Amino acid sequence: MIRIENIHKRYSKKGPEVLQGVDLEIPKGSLQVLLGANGSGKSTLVHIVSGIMKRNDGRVFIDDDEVTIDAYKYRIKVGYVFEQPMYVEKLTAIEQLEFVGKMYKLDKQTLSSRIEELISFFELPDDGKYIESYSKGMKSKVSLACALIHNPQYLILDEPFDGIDFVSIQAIGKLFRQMAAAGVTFFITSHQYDVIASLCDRFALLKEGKILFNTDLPDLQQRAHEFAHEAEPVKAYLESLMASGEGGKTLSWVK
Amino acid sequence: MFKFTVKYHIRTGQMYMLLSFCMMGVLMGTLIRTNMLLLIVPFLLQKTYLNVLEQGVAPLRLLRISECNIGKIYRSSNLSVMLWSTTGIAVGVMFLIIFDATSSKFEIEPMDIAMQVATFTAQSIMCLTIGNTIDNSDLRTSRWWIIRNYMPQVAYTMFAAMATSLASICALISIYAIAALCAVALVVWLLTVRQHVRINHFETFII
Repeated sequence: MIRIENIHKRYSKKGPEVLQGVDLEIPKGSLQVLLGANGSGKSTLVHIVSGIMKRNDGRVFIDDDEVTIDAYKYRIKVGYVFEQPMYVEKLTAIEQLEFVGKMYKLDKQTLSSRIEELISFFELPDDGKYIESYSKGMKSKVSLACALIHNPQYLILDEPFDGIDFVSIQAIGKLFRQMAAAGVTFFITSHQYDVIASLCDRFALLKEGKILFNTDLPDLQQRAHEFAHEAEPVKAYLESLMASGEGGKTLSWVK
Repeated sequence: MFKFTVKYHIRTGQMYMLLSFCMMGVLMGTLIRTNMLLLIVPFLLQKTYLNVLEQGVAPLRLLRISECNIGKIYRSSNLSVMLWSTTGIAVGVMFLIIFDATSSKFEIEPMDIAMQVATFTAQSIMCLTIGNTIDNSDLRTSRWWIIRNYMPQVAYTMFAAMATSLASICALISIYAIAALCAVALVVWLLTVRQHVRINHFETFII
């Protein structure tokens, strides 16, 4: 379980409070998504939960281990994808996976078999090209493969499907659901509402630094009843939540 | 890890810089009989010597989230730098030998070469030790951007200048003095590199 208690974050003394007492509990084996407009504090929360960013107040627990600067026990259990890349552009996908595997102290045999499987699953090139020459979607796949290599029990994914094609997303979604059924907990942020509406089972909305709601799929489906005529009412409801108050916006020079 | 660092230095072109600077240092240094020319290499390649965690293979975030011992990163990156600079010196010496064989005006003094190499090695090890220490210090995450952005370089330059002076003084005394300095610098490097295990600060300033 991931437990987030009363997180406050301010980037500067005089600046606004980006997170104003965020509380969230993510049960084991669930696919939790965090929704929010650009600049709502999603990535800040992800960085704090990952233990790479300081918080002003509050606590984060992963399996009863508190996330602190010098706590390393929980790190081996977690796989991460951040919006900003974590790969070395001058390595090939295989070399990158080998490198990350070594950082997680995987033995040689396990490492080579997992690399082989990940390369095949994500259809990554093994032609010796460096990651810098990959497309955006391929780079996202490399990040996802790196997050999965040490068989983590928790996955914290910030915009993991950025640029990835529809067919691959379906395969990844199927894998995620399989992993969740086996007890892996997911904490995802994404703007691809169609993907998350069909993939995730818990939905939280972060607005103005606070969690507005955190609910499960049946409840969300009930709330989405007004969009029952849509093919994907949950997606339509989520889109309406995110678009609220922005519908009338335009640019003065656009006729 | 060492294999990755060596590859990284090749692919990013840092190895060519080290090779060429060291080669030119040996050639020019022998021509004008001074060991000072090689000593500017750690100043010219400040990024390679100082920003190991940023430039040396592993992205900072990956280091923070994994269980990786950053001492390993420092050790392999430093050894890779030493490998490429020694290769550069070796290539320079090879050129000198060729010149020596083809020209009657030019004469190599083996002692001069030994002195240059020993002085550079001692100073280089000291600079790498200084670079590692500053790289994993609180200067990197200071609240004030001016300190965060400029102080690591300023501190490195000051300490590197001290290392250069010390190495030059020892080189002036005798080959034994510079060899002793090399040995001491190596022991200090080994001891300090073992002390770096974790990145000891949060990443406060990212969004």
